[in-house]
Amino acid sequence: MTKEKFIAIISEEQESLRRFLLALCGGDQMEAEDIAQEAMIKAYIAMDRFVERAKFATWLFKIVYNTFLDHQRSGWNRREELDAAAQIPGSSNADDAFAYQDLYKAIGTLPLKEKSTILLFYVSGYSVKEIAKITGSSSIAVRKQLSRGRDKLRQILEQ
Amino acid sequence: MKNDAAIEDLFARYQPDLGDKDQYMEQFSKKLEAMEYAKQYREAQTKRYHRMMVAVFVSGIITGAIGIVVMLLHPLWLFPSHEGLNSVPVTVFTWIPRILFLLGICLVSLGVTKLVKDISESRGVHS
Repeated sequence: MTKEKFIAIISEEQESLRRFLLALCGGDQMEAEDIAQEAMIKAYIAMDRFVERAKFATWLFKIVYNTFLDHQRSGWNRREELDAAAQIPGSSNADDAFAYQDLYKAIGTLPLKEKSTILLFYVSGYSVKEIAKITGSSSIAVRKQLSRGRDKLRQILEQ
Repeated sequence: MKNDAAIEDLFARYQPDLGDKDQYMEQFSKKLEAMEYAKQYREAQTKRYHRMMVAVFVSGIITGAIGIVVMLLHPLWLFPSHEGLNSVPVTVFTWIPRILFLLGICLVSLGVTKLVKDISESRGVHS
């Protein structure tokens, strides 16, 4: 794959990818952008290893998901700080974080696997099979995570 | 699947402002270019190191071979019998050419290595 083709595909996928990451990071725009950039650069470096038969977006999301997990493990999570920052009025990011506060709060109550599965399904529109590839789980496990996640979200929305 | 509409609606309304797409892609392309440059520089440096290692290895073998040939051709010059050469000035005198010979071998090795290094660096600058 050439650099130009890579940029063209990234251009198509970046919005979906950043939206997914933003929700996954609970509205933490800085962290989401950092992970997105890191993941896209990782994808560029590993571009030669990409098998053309596979779906590029799925492969890219797998890298994004693993990069997010790496950040989680390295204790990058600064949600408390950013939650406080989101309260500051004036910037569009803060307004955005406020507008989707309910969603971030509801998603934030879910365990990581369920959260990722729900977001990949509803925000990025992936199928169960594709989510299984991205998260490295089985299709059965993804279905269970989706079902559990939905149940929890329903309870939260009913409150 | 009951009440799934509420969940779907929650996510359907999720359209956060991600800023200008073109500007984002422009910044990302610049980052890729910078990274590409760094990648190429690193690859060129690795190639240079490999070339230097080969040069050092080859010059080591060549100078080693020269040393062995000289030793075999002139064994008494390098490892003389000390009979009759017990006086200090004479011993020192016989060691001088040997030390000079070994220094010469070292200098030739260093010269070859430096030459290869210089050639590699000049290629690296122009590439």
